[in-house]
Amino acid sequence: MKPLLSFLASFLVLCLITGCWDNNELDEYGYVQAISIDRGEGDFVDITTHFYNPSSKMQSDPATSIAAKGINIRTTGETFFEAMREIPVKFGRKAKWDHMRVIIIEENLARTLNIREVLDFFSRDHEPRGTILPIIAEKSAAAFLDIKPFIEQTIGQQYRKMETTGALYSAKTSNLPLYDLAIQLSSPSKTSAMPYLHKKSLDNKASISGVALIQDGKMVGVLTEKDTETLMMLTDKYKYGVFEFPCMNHEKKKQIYNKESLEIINLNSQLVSKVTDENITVDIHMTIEGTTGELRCSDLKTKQDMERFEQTIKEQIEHQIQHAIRTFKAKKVDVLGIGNQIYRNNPKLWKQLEPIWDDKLAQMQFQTHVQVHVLSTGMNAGTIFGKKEH
Amino acid sequence: MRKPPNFSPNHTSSDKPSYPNISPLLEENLNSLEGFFANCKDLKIYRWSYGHGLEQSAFTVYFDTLTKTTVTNFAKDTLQNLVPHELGPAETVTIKDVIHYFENHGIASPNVELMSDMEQAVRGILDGKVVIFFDGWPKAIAYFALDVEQRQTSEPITEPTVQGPHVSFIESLDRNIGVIRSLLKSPELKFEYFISGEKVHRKVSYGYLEGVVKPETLEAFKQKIEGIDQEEMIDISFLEEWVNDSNYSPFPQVRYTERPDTTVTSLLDGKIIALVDGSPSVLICPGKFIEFFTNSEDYYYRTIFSSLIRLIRLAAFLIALMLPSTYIALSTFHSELIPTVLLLAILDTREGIPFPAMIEALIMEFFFELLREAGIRLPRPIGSAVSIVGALVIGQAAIQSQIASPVMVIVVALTGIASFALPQYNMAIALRILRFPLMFLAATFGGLGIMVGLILIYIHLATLRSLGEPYLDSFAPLDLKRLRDAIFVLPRRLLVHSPRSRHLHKKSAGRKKS
Repeated sequence: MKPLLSFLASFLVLCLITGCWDNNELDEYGYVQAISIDRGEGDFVDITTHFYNPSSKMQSDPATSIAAKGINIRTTGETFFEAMREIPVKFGRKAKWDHMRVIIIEENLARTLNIREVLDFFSRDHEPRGTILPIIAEKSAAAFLDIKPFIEQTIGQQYRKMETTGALYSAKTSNLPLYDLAIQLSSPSKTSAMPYLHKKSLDNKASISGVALIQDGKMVGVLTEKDTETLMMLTDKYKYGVFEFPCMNHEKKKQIYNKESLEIINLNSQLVSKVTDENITVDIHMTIEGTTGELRCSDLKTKQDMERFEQTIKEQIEHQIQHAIRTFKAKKVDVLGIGNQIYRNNPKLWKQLEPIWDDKLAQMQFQTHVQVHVLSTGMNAGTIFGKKEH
Repeated sequence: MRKPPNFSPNHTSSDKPSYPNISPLLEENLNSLEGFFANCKDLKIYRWSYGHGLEQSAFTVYFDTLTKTTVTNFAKDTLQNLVPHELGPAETVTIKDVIHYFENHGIASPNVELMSDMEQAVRGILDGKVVIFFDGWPKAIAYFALDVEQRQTSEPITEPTVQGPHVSFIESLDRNIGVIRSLLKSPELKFEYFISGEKVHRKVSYGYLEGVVKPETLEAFKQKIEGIDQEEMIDISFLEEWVNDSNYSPFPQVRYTERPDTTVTSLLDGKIIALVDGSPSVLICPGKFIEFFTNSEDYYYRTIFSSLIRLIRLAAFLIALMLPSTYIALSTFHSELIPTVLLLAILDTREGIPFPAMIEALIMEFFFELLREAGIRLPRPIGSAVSIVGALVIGQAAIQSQIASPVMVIVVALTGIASFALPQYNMAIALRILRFPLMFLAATFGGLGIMVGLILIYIHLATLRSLGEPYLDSFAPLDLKRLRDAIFVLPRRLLVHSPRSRHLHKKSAGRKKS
């Protein structure tokens, strides 16, 4: 009897310390899907929180239910926490941050205010995850939350998918979760490249391409899509993508449509920095494997053709690398992380270099060693579509 | 060795009638029999005479509802035994011949028995024997002539299989033991009998394979069933509570089967089986945890397939035990653990449900249990109507009226299906019971509560014993060799050399080489 009694007693005690304080039904919360941060008047920050609006499947009309899938709540305050605590007043439910997908930061805010201060709340609070994607938005960030999702259920998920798949398959932007951003911001070179959300002039639709360069917590500029691709290549974050290069036949170079493309399926790159007395030289080792994406002017019939083809691609890549490096130097940002590399290899040397790093950056020498392997010509032989193979 | 419990004639019990000895006077015997069987209108007493001038008298007594006397004339048979090659009124036979012949066991027919006292005679009559009393002889002879309608052997109803034999036991003890003997032709197969119940007086038998069964286990079994002869045993399941080490455990400690092949397999595994007259199922003990996930069909398929099925059953076990509580814990405590897209889908269905997840789950589980109970008890034609109405109530109407969310219906239905997937019904019942405390724990403590609940269940399982053997045998204490036939079923060639009992190795030296 004794074990039974003691069991019952301990069970009763257990019931007294229940975790009911933590017990909340799903519909007692509002689930934050995205948040946008804008500069308000004076010292205020404006926050727009995008909540998921669950609509019962029983309400039949699909058109209205999809339209109302998200609710934007706009609050303002001098600190983030204050602005966020204002949410229940306007919304009626407590915000649940666990499933937040993206943080959209206005470009204007990022240029003037330190981004570290902006994001502090999201890493300090236990609810938001380290995998949230912070994004810099062109002009007003709140406006981007008013857009209806194209295919995903919420606009937050939409932007998240655009960033991750865009970075994976086209390498036109970076995929940067909050914890990676924290690591980059605290690294010696204090540089980061955050994805850039803007409206394309083509169709005036939101798209995430290019990156915003962050130097010491502040945004210093935007990289174009081409330079972003090169940046991804140099930092070895390039997975798949398409590379454009001009025709190798000189007589066709002057035509309008004179570009061909290579589908890159494997890219490895390594930056090796060497510090001599005065100069820093960086060797860029890069191997690229791919298949021909489209042919417009080249005939790849012989081994020599192929070698020439690969040579053309190589030249174009080197050209782009030089262009990107010139841009980095002009903006005085060390997005390639050369400073980090030196710090890791030789912390003492870095301490000497750190005060004069801007100068060193401007004088840095880069040498490229690129290898290109075209693995196949795809499903067709090395001639243009419809052209007879000899 | 102790003697197995036996029916003892001089057992003192208050409501027990006292039996006189058989008197040499025919009339006295007749009177006492009529005293015993007063108002038993189906008892037939038939007086007849024989011998020279029909001076010798005798009477035959039997229940005509039990015997097949219409086919054989036992009185005539008796006399023909005494006087070979002679027909007619048996004029030369005297009572001395009768006594001389039967006392010296000159019995021609093997189913003739000598009854030396009245109790034996009364029991004999009740067992379906035809008893003949002779004037001047304080004994009687009895012919076994039981003839009660019996069910034909059919497909096993509760354990049908696709492959393997399609025979099941019936409600006759002797037939069942005969079936087992015919499938396991070894002198080491022992069956011991005892009679249970003052009124029902049923024959109970337990069997084992000597040299394979652990002697300690057999000893424990015999100790456990001591005193069971008082029990008016209707079904073999009456024995279960006598054999169980812990009657308050939700987990079953014995198995039942109505398949002869399963019985033979478990005998070979060193199990003890028990049968009772009038029950088609066989009790197999001691039951171990993993055995409740096995089925005789597992061994009729190839190793890959049966291993897969075992895994599915283990998954079914976990689902049946934990799915509702996991859902409650995730949705009320740990919504951050649900993948975002899934959470959004659940949110869509949860919005507007007036009850907390726990109440919702309780309602739906209660509906389901209600439906299940209703479906089992009702006659078959009405049963289908119940299931249709029930499915509509639970499935469609509850969702449409926003009493329950579709996700909860999926959870409850999956739980129910998973519990049906377990081959032993007893184990499914255990899970049905344990599911509810786990749900309460999940609703009060979340994932921590489930963990506490599971740990308590595990502690209980680890301490539980079945006839002195650990219930979690081959997991705890861990025995890697015996795990060959636990979660996975290894190929036959590997299993043959490791029948699960060590004793078999010792006995059959021809098999073991090292």
